[in-house]
Amino acid sequence: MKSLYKITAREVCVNFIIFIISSFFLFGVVFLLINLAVNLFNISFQKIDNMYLVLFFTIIFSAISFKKINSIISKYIERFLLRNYSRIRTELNILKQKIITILDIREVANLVVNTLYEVFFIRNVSLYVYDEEAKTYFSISSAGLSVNHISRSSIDEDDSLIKHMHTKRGYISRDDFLTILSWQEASAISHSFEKLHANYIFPLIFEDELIAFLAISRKTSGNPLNKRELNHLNNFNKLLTLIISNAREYRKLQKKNDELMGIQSRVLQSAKISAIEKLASGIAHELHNPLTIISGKAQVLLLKGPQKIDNAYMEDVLKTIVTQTKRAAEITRQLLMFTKPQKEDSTTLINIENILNDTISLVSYKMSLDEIRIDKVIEGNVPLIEGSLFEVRELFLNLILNAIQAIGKKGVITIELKYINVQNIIKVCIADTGHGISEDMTANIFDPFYTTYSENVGLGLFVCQQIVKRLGGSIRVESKINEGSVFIISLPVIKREIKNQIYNQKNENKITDPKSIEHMFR
Amino acid sequence: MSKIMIVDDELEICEFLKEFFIDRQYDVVTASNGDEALAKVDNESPQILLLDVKMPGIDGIQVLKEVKRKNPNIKVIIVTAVETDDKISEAFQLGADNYITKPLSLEDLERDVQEKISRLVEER
Repeated sequence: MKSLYKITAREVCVNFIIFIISSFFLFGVVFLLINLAVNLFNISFQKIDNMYLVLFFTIIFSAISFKKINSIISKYIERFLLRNYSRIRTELNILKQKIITILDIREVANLVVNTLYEVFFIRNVSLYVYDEEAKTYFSISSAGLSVNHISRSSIDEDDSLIKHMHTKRGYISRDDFLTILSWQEASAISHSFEKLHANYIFPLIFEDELIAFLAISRKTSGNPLNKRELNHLNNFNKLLTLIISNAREYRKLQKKNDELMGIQSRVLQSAKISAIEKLASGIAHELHNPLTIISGKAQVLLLKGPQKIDNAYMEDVLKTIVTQTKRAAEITRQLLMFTKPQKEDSTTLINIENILNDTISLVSYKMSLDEIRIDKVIEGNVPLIEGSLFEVRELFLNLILNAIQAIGKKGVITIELKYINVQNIIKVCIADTGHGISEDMTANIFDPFYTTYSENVGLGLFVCQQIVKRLGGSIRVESKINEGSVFIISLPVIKREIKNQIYNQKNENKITDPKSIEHMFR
Repeated sequence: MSKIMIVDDELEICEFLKEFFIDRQYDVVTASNGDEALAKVDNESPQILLLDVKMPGIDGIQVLKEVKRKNPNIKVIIVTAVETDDKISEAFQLGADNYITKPLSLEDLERDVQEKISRLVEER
């Protein structure tokens, strides 16, 4: 069996020198002290018995205090003779101090990997961390490896090397397991070592779980690591295990926290919407009754025919009253439709062009008051996307209202819709000529409860981001102070063309006339 | 002559509907709230009820329930301003025969009423 660690000749010499020096030092000091004590009490040295007694005590005391003195002396001697090891120790201590305060697992990994790489003069080092969802160990940081290798380095939890780590617990050297294991196991593990570009594996086990491991190569000189270096690494890894386990817990908590934030904002948002819905349905009720009366009376008169209506002008007025009241009622109905989430549309096929047009018509009155012009650059025949109709409406309404708010008075909103064939995505850009956002603000503009307007809750853009996420897309903002902002949304297109046909059929069956509803309920 | 009962808390609505149906040779009774409607259903025994949903006191849904319990032969057309899908489906479950939204198209309404009456005749 090959030696686990290669102890260098220099190390042997140093250890020997330390031993000799500390022995002599101790022996000398103790001998002198006892001699002094003997002289103080005026005991004569002439007696040979006394001489033996002194020697006897000297040896006893030396033996008792040897270990302590030896370690103190060796520390100082090492500093002179083995500057390298003392350097490793100090560097590792500095590293320990640093990583204790870091919570981000990637940051810890980068710092550890880079420091180890520099301190030990190794060819490469990687830190693999267990991903619970993928049931795989992924390299989250490495040094000394090509980008090509890093991008595809992962190892399955069923890998024989991982199993071996569980059983062995301590570090594993590539050179030492070969003789212990069966030929098959050895070859499988050897293959894994090859894959990881490693010579040593340090498992980081916390509460019986292999949470991560360090894969370390030989030194740049081609030499293996020696016993001291391996011990240093072993000691350091005890702390690293704790820190990585903490960082993982922290990340889990953070994820939970994000989820809760999302839920909270959705609850708030839905409360806000149900308030709008109540208001809208109240208005609709109040408006529909007078409209019904106006229209109804006009219709009664109109239907009385020639006996009451004696000229075409009168007939025309009555007809206009009927059509215009109908139009007014339609507007309130649209408003209601906008605020009312529909159960069945959890996922439907959505024509973004239609939604953009609906939304623009809904806000057009407000825009005309504020002297805001809207420019549409809309590409025809954009493919459909899949999602909640209500959510997509809310997304664009929020963004357009946001643009109106940013402009205040007088300005232009440009809405661009296009399909990018290569990526199979739909791109919607909503640009305003408003006050713009500073660079540091663009970073947290999508955060919940972040707002620059006193009257806002600060959920609009957060909700937008959540909706875009659910649609599988992305949203970002580009902005310049006093020039305006542009929100860029990319949404993935559904693949199957057949769905287009389904969508068309669905549209035809749209519940507009009561008879179709009646039919539905039978 | 067919008898229609119009139930709406807006008097003006009752009024023009009454005028319209009288012009069309119907017998018309009106009620401005749920209690009145239930009382009149017993006395007047109309064939068709035009029933507003949102009313103070007993609302249209409760009136519908009661009317259909007393006499399932009475055809009920629900008249709504804007109602949620839940409300409408509840009305249909309780036996409503159709629903129309305000503002009303009188020609459509009359067609619907005629259809209900001819169905009543068929059922007899």
